[in-house]
Amino acid sequence: MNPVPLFQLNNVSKVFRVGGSFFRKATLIRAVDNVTFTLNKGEIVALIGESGCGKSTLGRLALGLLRPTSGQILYKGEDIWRMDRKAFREFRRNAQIVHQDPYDALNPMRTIYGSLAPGLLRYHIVRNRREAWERAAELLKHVGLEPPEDFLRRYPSRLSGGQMQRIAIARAISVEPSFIVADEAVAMLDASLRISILDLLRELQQRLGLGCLFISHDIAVARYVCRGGRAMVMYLGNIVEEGGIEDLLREPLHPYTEVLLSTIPIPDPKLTRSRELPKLRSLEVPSAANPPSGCKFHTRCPYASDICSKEVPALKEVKAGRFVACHLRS
Amino acid sequence: MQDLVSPSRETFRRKVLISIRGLTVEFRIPRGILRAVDNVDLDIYEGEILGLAGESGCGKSVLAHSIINQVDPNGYIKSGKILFREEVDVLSLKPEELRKFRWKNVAIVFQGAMNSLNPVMRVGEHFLDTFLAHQSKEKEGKNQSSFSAKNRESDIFSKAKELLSRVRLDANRVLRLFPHEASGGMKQRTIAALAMLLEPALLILDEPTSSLDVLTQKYLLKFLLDLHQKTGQTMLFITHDLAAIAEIADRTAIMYLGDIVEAGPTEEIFYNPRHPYTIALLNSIPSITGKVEDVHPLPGPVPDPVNPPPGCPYHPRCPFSFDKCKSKKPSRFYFDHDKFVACHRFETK
Repeated sequence: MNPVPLFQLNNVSKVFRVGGSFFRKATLIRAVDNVTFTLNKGEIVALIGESGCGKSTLGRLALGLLRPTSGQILYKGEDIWRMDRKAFREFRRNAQIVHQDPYDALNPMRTIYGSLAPGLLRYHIVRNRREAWERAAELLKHVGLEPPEDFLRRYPSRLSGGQMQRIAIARAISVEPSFIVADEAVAMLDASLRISILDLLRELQQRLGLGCLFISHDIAVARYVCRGGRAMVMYLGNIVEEGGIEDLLREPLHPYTEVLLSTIPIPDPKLTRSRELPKLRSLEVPSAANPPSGCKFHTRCPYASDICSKEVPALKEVKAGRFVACHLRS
Repeated sequence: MQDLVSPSRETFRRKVLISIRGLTVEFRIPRGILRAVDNVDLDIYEGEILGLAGESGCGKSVLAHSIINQVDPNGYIKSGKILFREEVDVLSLKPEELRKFRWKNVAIVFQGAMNSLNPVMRVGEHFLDTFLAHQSKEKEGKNQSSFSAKNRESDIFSKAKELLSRVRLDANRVLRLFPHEASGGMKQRTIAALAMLLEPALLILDEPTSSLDVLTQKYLLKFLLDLHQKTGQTMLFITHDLAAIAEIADRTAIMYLGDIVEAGPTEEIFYNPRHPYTIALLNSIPSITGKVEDVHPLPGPVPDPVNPPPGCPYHPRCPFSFDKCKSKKPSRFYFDHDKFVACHRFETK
């Protein structure tokens, strides 16, 4: 009934081995644990979670930069790790990333043209260097950097953080991808600059019909870019809640979502000071190497009962379009 | 709008702790002279939390670091006066006096402070080291040498434990850790506790929350507020995040291109902003409340600080600007003794 989604993750897990030697056993860290989700063409989905929850690993899995330990990653219905070289290369062109730190994402020894041209040439978007120059100039115009010729000759050190992030976005869309992962794309930028970058990202996403996985620790930013779209909340490798972002804000179903919401600062002195702190049982996030049994949130959850430490709750649809993995709600 | 954020505001002994007058700080950079702080007047009152907000590069950190006369090697304080408790002229202190003045009178928690812990020292040693470096000579002077070194050590540790438990850390464990064994949030809270060790008159927090998770951020802010309520600690809180200011500051100052363009009680700034820049800044924050459509980016690019625009530095981006803004820099228009805006629109008609 449904057309094949653009992108699909089926029960994907990723386990990292850390340390270990001849004498010592390696520590296993389950960064992504049994995650399933779909992304449709032209859809923007937010992935929200604290640092270390595995959201970046999930992003890199989705791009084919990491090989999952188990589970399948399907692009247009095809498993990306079973594709032939040609198809995989085509997938790579279609899946692009915007990194968190634009200062690290651009090669400081190359001019902006030098950063944009190789992708254009490699994927035969353009035929020669002259066309590459023209195409690069056009891209810079798209991301609001004018006059483009001036920027093309510059080195990254001559640009501000906001300008560099625009270049990073231009580079991501330069090879005409069908979906992008924006990994904390505005976290390094000033609060006042964020909106213009988010506007740009959203405008391009809409115009080019890109699928977008927007990874952020900041629900307010995710809400701005999603505009009523879907959001997923991640905790220690699991998706704990999924649903429309406005529903999620209005009525969080998972206790962790509730906690996250109540800690987001609101730029309104009276409102923000009248809110109560969540009654967490522990402040420290448990180690990913040794996660708690059952529901991973039970060591901190204010509502935890016996079952929570024993059984892993499954992600279930509890209301139309709202999924949550919590024993309280089933 | 008489409803004020903090009840303690009424009882402020409005004594000026730090008074900055006509401060100008410049940096020599390859392209020329960059004026990071331009003729700033600012008072910090005893017992208040003053929030200083602005975009990156507006000079807010430079202004704060000038309070302890600490400017990067390529910069210099061109003119101005900084008075501590109306008597100590900070800018004319000799190196040894300055060393004593720092941390004891004014302590700073730097941006990314978690990296300012020494990686080869345990957390406990940091407390010991800091205390001994600043206290030893004075102790002799006060004839308190009856304390044996051993005794003093346990005194310091009990003080450290008290501070660490106030930031909700397990003191017995944390004191024995090396910095790399602690998480970012733990390190940040440790630094805050360390800064409080000598009970400084002023605690400067330079973007203390920007590298933290929302949860840790919230708890750090709560700790600072608790501390403020219990001890009346004076703080200067610097951030680009207005939402954090809303949470913590009694009074807020907004900085743009080296100068303070508006200041006043926090509620006034948020509910009744007057400077076009403040208004634009407030409209540019994404929030989980309010309408998404009401959020707008700041107009135009930030001007080059080496060649700032003439007149009001905000006029090229300002939707209300008129002829006068292009030629004359607006002076401050005071609504109250601590409430002002620097904008031609408010000049007495």
